[in-house]
Order: sequence, then structure tokens, then C-alpha cells
Amino acid sequence: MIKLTEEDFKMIYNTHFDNLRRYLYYRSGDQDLSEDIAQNVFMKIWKKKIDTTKGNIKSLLFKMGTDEFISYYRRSKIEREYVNSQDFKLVHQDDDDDDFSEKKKMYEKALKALTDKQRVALLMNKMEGLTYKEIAESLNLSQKAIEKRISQALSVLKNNLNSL
Amino acid sequence: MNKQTKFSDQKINNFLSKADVPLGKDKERIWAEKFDSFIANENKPQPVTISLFNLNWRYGIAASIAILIAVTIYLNPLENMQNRMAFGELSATEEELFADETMIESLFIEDSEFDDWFEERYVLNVVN
Repeated sequence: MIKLTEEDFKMIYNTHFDNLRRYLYYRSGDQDLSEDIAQNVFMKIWKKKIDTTKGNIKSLLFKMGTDEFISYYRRSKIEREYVNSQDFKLVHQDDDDDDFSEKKKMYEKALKALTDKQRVALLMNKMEGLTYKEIAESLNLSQKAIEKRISQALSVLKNNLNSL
Repeated sequence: MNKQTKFSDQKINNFLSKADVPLGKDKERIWAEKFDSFIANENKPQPVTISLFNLNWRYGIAASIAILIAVTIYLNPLENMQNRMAFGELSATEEELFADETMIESLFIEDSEFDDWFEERYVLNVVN
């Protein structure tokens, strides 16, 4: 087994930390929680000296992040209420435009109404520009499943936006 | 304008491609705040600590051994002497044995009783 060096760990951190944080934010809509869970995941990687040369490291990180996220809410037993209470916030390149804020709020509201799985797949595709294959590898799902989720998410989002 | 055409796929794509989520602190700052010290601590060689419990046990075992040795040394000459007496190496004279026996017995009797008994015993001894 190859021991994880500090250099390797830093490289993995630089490459994947923000991706993991984004993914967790897509799910929770909670900035602080996303940051905390992402940190915990990386601390576990370092403490357990997990062999990062085997398999897909991004998929492993996302899996660990998902498990932490789920166990956090299971422990507190308020998953549904908590997630529902969170506002889903976005930052946008056109934020300076005064007329834009109303439109952004509509998007935020419509995105919040999606299921977290739909939201994750849609935003990884549309915001980060990841292909179906890349998303499928990260989430350890089939491409078909991702395609279906994104298609459903887009349809629901469009309906939500047009009904607001 | 029809409501369904207000937000098309194209418009949604355009909006989302320019959007991002708020990430808060920069990852380099998080690294400096959390991971630098965390990794430094993890890499530091851990000092070997002997717990109080282990220390007591060690002292306990050492003390037990010392006591056993001391008792063995203390009891050994007496045991040797008894063994030697048993094998006849040390032979006490009849008078010595009689004196010892008399002295011990005298502890449990009155003086007058002792005098009577001693005279009787002594006379019988002499006569015999």
C-alpha cells in the first residue's frame, strides 16, 4: 500500500476541496455545513492515510461527503425540516445589475423546490459544465440515471419558474 | 407573452452557466487555518508515556519479589537449624532440654506449685 504523503494530500485538496464543497452546498443549501463536512472528509483522508492511487478519488470524496451529510441529519433527526428551512442562495456574474436581483430570487426559489438529487445533477451539469459521464463517475451512478435526473430537474425547474 | 416561453431551456442554461454557489472562505485560508497545524501535529513524533497504572504494576511486582526474597533469606537459617536438629547434627544435652522444658512449663504455673513439682521431679531424677 502506498502511503499518502503531505504533497499528495495537498494536491488532492487543491483539486477537489471546492468541488466537494459545491456538491454539499447543492444538497444542503448550507454554506457552513458544507465547509465543515468537506473539512471532516479531508481530515479523515489524512488521518486514515487512505490510498488515493486506487479507484476514483473524486467519487470516494463525494461518497464520504454524502455519508457524513446523511449521518449528520440522521443524528439530529430534523433533516426534512432543516433542509426545507434553508434558503438556496446563488452568486451570479450579473449581480451588480439592479433588475437582476428579482430574477435571481426566482431561480433560487425554483431551485430550492427541486429534490436534492435533482438539484445536484442539474447544477453539476449546468454550473460546473460537467458531462453526464463525469457526474456519473463522481456520484457512482450510471449515465442513464444522471441523464434522467437532469432531464426531470430541468422540466421541474422550468415549470417552477414559469409558475412563479 | 405566454408564461411557458418566459423561461426557456436556453435562458435557464445561460443563467446557470454564469451562476455559482457562495463558498465562503477561500480554500487556501481554510488550509492555513485548519490543515497546516493539523498535519504538523500528526507528523510530530508522539512521546512515549508510561501510564500511572502501568507504573504502579511495575512497582508492585518489584516490591512483591523483594518481599519474597527477604522472607526467604530471613526464614532460611531457622529452617536450616531445624533440619540439622532433625538429622542429629545439632544435639542438645539432656540438661539443656530439661531446662528449656522446665522454663516453658514454668510460665503457666504458680510459684508454689512449681517448687513442689520441681523437687519431686528433681528427686525422682536423682533417684532414677
